[in-house]
Amino acid sequence: MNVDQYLGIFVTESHENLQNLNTQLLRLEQNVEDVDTINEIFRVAHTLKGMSGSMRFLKMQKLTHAAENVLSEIREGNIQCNSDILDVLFKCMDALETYIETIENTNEEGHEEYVELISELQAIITKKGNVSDDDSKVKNKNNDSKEKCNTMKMELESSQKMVARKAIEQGLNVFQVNVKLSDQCVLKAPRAFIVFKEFESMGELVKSVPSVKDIEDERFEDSFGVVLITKETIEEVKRKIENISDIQEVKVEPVVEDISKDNTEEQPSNAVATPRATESQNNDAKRKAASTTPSATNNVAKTVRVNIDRLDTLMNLVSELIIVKTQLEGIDGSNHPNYTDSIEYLERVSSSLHDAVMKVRMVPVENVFNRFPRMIRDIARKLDKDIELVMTGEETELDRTVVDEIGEPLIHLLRNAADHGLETKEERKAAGKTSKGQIRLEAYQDGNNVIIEVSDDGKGIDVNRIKEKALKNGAITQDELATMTEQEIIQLIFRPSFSTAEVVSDLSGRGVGLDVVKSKISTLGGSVEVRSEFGKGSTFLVKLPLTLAIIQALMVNIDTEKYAIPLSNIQTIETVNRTDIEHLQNQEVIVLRGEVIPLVRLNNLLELNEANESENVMVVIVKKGDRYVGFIIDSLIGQQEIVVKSLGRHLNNIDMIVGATILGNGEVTLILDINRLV
Amino acid sequence: MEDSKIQLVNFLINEQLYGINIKDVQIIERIKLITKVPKASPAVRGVLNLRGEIIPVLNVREQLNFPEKEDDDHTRVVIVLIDDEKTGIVVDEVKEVVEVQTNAIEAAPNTHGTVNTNHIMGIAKTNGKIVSVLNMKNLIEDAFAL
Repeated sequence: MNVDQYLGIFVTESHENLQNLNTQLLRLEQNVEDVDTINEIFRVAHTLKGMSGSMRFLKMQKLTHAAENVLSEIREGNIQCNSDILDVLFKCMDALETYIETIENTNEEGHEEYVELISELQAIITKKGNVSDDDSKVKNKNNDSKEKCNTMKMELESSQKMVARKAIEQGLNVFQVNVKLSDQCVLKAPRAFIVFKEFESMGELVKSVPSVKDIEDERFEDSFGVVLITKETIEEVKRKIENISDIQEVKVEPVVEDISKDNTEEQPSNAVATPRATESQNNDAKRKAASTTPSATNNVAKTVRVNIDRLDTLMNLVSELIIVKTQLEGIDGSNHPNYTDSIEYLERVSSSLHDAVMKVRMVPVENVFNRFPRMIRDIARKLDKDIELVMTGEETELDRTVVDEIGEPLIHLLRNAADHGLETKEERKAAGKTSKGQIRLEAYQDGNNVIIEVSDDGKGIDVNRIKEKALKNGAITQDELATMTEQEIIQLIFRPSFSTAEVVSDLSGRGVGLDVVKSKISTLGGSVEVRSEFGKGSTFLVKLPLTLAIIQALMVNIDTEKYAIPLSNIQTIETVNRTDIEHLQNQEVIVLRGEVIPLVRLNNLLELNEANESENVMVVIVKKGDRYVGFIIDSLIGQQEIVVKSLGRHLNNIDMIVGATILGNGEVTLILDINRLV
Repeated sequence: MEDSKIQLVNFLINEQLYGINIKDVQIIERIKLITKVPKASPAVRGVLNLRGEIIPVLNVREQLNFPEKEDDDHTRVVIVLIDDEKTGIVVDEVKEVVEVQTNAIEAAPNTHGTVNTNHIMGIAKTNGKIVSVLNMKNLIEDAFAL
């Protein structure tokens, strides 16, 4: 059977299953006695094993099987779970993750077999003695239960018996049919559905074990049974079902005896029912079942997996709609009485549509956060530190594109916090702190931004060491240093090749570091800053835009060109008299409400001509972190909702430009990247 | 069959005939407003809007060492798709589409080193005229690398 088409589903689901396993294992570590968690872990591992098996990833299946055996022993209470066992299981998760990644990239599981890991897993069982016996026992038990399911006589309810009895009276056959799907069957529920369709074409289904709903939700192993009323013979039924692919075994048995036995009991109460009535009753029941099943399913899950490309297409169309709307706004329609109303209505509709599409693209940061507890646990064990990770605001939502990209920088910040931020147990005790260090990861929304804070209660950043280092590698001169505040000096750690860690570990401190974090975050349109108090800890504030695709921007004229400045960057717009511009070490500045603000002439920066020198100049004041900078522009056009588009691969490396947008008249306008200009 | 023949879109730049393999050509547009991009290389004339998509436009004259020319009624932007990225080049006038045998395309002679042979894939003779076939991939890479 060709399984390629299911590969995508398999990979996504496996990622989810593995993530779930990691989370559950962490929970188990907190409370090794938690039976529910163990059961859940076992269940998920079993699913994973089944899935990998059906996709023919046999190495992966083998490893999962080995892990499952250990889990089974834990579940049975034969093995007491401890951190060492969990370590091995975690390693196992990593190995499985590697398999999935390999599969994702190459469509094959690769050659790695993790023999050592498997023997480690087996050793866990061996240590408790008679492994092989237990192992096979577990297997047998599974097989037993399957067998049982296969041959189990189905108990019919009285009404169902009556239907069956009527059928027999009419000369129809009543069979119990047990169907076992093949191991390679990937989508069991749809397969079962086909089987059911086939049954229905042959006659009436009276009962099914497990229930139809369970089968639709794939809550069954690989076999199910039904009671079927049909005109067909045993052989015919068997043949028809066996013709469906992915069916391993079909057993058809008549159930005459059971029913006839019950006949006497049931007869009096139901004697009045004519065959016709029964039939309609039966149909009613079926219809009822049909109508209740979907609604019940709805309660369980209302989600649909959608390819991100389709969402992007939708987003593009909405963007086009907004451009057209802007175009219409520019048309003078005053002689059409309904023009303004219609435009306003269009505006409302298009902005609701935009919001709706944006919401679809939003995913909770939890998708990124959920891998961190595991990571911190590993780091803590490696560094022999006691670390508690407190996460809040996992439900905060961000645009999908941001969430996809933010993981890497956050991992970096968290590793830094664990490695450099937090002291060793001894140092903490000496400093009068609790031996358990705390790292907090908090996400919350702030206006049109989402803030993610990574803070630790460790030793904080030593300003003096940064000063030394900065002077030593020439990042800054003594004079400059003298004018800088302590917080400004701390921001120096975001400069390239600036690592103050004395020991280079494989966790962090290789010099490539915070500058990469910073540039990654600014490509996402965000910013990062750090606050630190020596001896008490540090906090990294990552500020991210809620959405990347459509923003409010200020349109300005510079020379003959139009530029857009994202509104979120702008503090105020001031008209400044030329005489108020002062010079400070060759730098033009203005004093605004007691604050000295450096000025940047955008036309110089963009290699454009100077506009006419009038008495007053327009200055757009932007805020970046704690700093203000004023940009001199020629004139304002106004505020506008713009759709951010990429300049394409070739022009992506132009620093000052974050993207472009298309105006109502079809003209392209570039969007300035204020974060890079400051 | 098709292997032996290719179709060339022919156009004039500085009164000389140039051609591009029609497979690479997406669309030919009238020249419209091109937005300058600061700090981009001189070979990049700017970006334009092609039905909602933003496409960089090259000034091939710059790369072929020709003098600047004002846009007029005949000026067109030929939009090519190379390596999944669309790029436009400004040409003076689009002439015709011709079919040539691939083996009729000869290596470009380097006339006194004035032509960057990297930019020319070869020359073909059609209807008694000589067409220089542009190597768009190299032209584009060079334009953005500058």
